[in-house]
Amino acid sequence: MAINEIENPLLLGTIRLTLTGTHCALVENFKGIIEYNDEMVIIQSRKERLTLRGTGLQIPYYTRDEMKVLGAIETIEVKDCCV
Amino acid sequence: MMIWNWLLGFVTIVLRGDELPRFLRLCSNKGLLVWNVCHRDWNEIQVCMRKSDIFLAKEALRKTRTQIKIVKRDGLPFLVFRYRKKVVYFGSVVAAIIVLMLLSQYIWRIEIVGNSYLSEERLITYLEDNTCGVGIKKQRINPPELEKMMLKDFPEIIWNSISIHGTTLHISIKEQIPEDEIRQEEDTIDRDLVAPIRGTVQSIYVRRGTAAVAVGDKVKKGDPLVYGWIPIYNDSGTEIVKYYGADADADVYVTGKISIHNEINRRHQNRLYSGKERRYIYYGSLQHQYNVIPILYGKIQHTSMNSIRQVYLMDTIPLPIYRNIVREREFTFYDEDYTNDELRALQNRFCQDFIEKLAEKGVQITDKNVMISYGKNGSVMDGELHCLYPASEYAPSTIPEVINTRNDTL
Repeated sequence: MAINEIENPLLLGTIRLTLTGTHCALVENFKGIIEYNDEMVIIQSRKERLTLRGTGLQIPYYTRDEMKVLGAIETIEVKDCCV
Repeated sequence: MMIWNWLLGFVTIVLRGDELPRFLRLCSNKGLLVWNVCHRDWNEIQVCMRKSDIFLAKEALRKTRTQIKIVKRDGLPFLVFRYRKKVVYFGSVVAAIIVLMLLSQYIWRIEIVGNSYLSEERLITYLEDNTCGVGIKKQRINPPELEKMMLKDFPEIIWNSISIHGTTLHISIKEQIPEDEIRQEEDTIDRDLVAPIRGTVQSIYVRRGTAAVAVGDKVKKGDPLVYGWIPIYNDSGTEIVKYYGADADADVYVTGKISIHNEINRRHQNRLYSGKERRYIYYGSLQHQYNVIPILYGKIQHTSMNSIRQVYLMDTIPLPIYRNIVREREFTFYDEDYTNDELRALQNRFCQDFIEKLAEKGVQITDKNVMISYGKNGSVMDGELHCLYPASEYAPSTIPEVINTRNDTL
């Protein structure tokens, strides 16, 4: 399946990240949080690992379906990995 | 969501351990809501969780060997627990609010504006007879219907407006003052204007009727001054063919004398107040007030003055509670004699009242000839008042019959 034919990433287990500026990130479709401190948040989905780096990172809410990260986000890394 | 969390109660906790992200994962897998996660130290985070979720997270705490410390408690359950000893206070506040809400569904005050001929008591009695008075539920009163009823039952009212504001029934009316003598057309009787006193006619001005006297004539009480009929003459003006009844209407003034007489005994009973006075207040409904101090002065003579007023909340909301302030003053009777000066003052006051009553009828006093005599037993006032009396009394009129004196045979 070509990348441009992907319409519903939730069905494929891919993480979904919605970034608002550099201060707010909404993450959906993940399995869990791997690491958290005020400079780094690592989130694991089925196929990727998302790393948010910055300063003053906080999690206003964290549920099974989505979570929000607030703070000064400087870098976003997405790494493929099989889990 | 935050309001719901507050209602259920939530805590702010500090978690310490090496597997804090795993703890968060385990909580989210169990469906436990976690919010306001912030990092404090390399192995410490602060989170908020619902009070009930703390117990459900015990398994996750045990698995991740995380230590928990509650730093803050928020929400309704904790508030209730904190003020559990003040339940009576809060209960009273709630009860008062409920009572006010219940009582506000009834009418507790009636305000009537614009009435002068119809007294307020009469209108309020009418409303109570039609189940629209004080203490009636607001829903039972239909203002448009009530307006129509009042217009129908009170011919004096030409316009009215009824509205309900809060617990007050506002009634505005406009009246048409009826004439002093209300007479139906079919019941009209023709009347003569008669003399009020014995005297001399001073002036006469006839608007309707036939003059029976002229200026300067001497009349006695009851003599007709103006007849209640008008003669109708024939075309030549020489013969009366008919008498037409017409209620006499004229301005006639009669000068005469009115005698005045008054006797006052010197000995009389007076009150001596001992100075003992008591005031107390009691509350209740308009008809029944209940005295918290049930003991009155009893057999001791006393004057009692009551002042009943409705109680208002914040000066604007009328409550169905009436306050009665009672003032009692103790006194005893004793016999006393008037002095001559006091007798003179009493006689003058009597004379003044007598003259004022005459003035209300339009009588003008032109001269006074009054003597006051003093004796051992009292005082006697005798005299005459010269007055100008307007005629305002009527007597049924007798319409004369026409006597036909014409000679039929030529």
